[in-house]
Amino acid sequence: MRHIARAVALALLLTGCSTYSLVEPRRTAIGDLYTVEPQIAWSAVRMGKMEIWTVDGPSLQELAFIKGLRDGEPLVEGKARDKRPQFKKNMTASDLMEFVVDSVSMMGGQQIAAKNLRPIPFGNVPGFRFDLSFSTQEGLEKDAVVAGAIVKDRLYLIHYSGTRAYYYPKYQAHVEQIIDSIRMQ
Amino acid sequence: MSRAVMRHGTSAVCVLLIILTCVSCATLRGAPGALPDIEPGQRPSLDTDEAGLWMLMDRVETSLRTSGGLVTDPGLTTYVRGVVCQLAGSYCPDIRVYVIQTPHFNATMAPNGAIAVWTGLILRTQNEAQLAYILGHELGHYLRRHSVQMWRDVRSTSDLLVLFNVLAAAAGVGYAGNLGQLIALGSLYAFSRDNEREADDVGFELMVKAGYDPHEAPKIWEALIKERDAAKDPAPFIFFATHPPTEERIATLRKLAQEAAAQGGPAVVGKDRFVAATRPLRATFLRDELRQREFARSQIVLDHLIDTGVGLGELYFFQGELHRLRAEPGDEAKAITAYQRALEAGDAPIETHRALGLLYAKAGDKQKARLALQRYLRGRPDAEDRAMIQRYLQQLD
Repeated sequence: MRHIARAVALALLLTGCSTYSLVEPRRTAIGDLYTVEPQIAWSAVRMGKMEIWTVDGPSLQELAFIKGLRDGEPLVEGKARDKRPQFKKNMTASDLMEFVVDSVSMMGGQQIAAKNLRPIPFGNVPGFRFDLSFSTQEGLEKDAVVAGAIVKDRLYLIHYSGTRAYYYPKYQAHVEQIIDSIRMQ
Repeated sequence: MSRAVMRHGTSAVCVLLIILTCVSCATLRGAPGALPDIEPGQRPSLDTDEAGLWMLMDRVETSLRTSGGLVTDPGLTTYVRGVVCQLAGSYCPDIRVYVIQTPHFNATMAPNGAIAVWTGLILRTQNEAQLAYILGHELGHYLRRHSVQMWRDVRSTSDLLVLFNVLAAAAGVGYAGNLGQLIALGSLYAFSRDNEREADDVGFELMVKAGYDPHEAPKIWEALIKERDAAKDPAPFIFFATHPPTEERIATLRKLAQEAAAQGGPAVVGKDRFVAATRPLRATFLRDELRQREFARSQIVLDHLIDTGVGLGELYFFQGELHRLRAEPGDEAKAITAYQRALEAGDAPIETHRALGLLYAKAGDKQKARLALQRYLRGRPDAEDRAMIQRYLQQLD
């Protein structure tokens, strides 16, 4: 039932029927774990454990917050449970990078390359980040950055992606600032 | 990530394929109403339905040229194109070859001369003779104009224009995405079993004429059946939907191979050429294969590759990766054994040390973990993940 709800939410998002809300440029809560402080206004849509912010539209650039995946939960739907990459609470940062890459692949990403895996502070807890590049099935080239941490056995991710030619770099600096502004609640 | 909850749109396309597979009313060559073979350089007259079919496929092919899955590696694409031309002879200028990075066994032939070879097929092929047989089979569909035949036969029995339009839509963009596009490109319709037999005959004829060892032809089917049986997956392979592997097919090919061999002539297997062209990309194809998480099936693929004896260090590394990803009870120990075997083989990727180190760390063996991770950093001083590995090493102190 939860999957159906997510699918409906996505359909609404794609057809432009979902309810966007304005994210003001001030400190904003991302779920129960932490807050961030954007410097510009974003449009946001919330779907369970996922929250997506965009300025120009999610197919051009999107900032996704994954808010606390539990052990055994996948990032993507679609195949039988055992065919999906699943989050495990004992994953290393290297495992998590593979988990995200495999999930992007399952969504149809092509020519995926992940690099620069490195430790960062995620608020005041040890986290990680890495860079991604991939093509859509239609050949549109995209870049992405992923930052995250496991807190109390749950995975929190920030995934910013956009078209390589224009929309990714357009708000890249703002996203860096958002990641730097993470403060635990 | 907004597509994280998107369900794959392949099922609708597969349903269409299954419907179309059930339609076995094709006209055989020589039967009343059968089309003559296409001639070299021939294009259909603009006032025919065949021209319409070609135009649709031209449009699909245009989007294929810019698709994200198109393999652009010049070594591999030039090689596959060369094999196609060797088989196609005077038809070579009429055929365009596309290698598509998708981890399933398939090759598709469009009526307009666009042939798509999926990388999952290349991964499952052991030598040039096997590749030539499959490519020859696909060329058989082109030469005999099976797509057009099937289109006309189907249309004469029921109005499937709706399906045509649905497939045309799938061939563009949207829900069905690239998979629909590829299926539409290659087999607007699943060819009938009679068409398949005919394409088998042509494929075999072309490979023998080009001097390849005919005994390699049935081997590819035997391996696929083994893989299918191991998978125990109710979902059929895409390729099997349009190319049913049967004992009859294998028996026929074996008989033909014996007859051809009895007549003498060259029997090129072409393993070295095939390995030279495909080996640089094999690790990428293996990674794509493991991402499917069809571990029983992937094990057969790995066993098949290990049999060739080519690049065993890399293959044992991926054997370890299979166990690590499957993560069933006992898999951790099996993964460590496979990684160690990879290192003993001498040509293991340097990432083997990292994989071993991370597994040792999880198992609590700090000393072995430290040594393995240090070896990884020594072996790859410019490692992209150096900072993270150094953090792991600090945590092990």
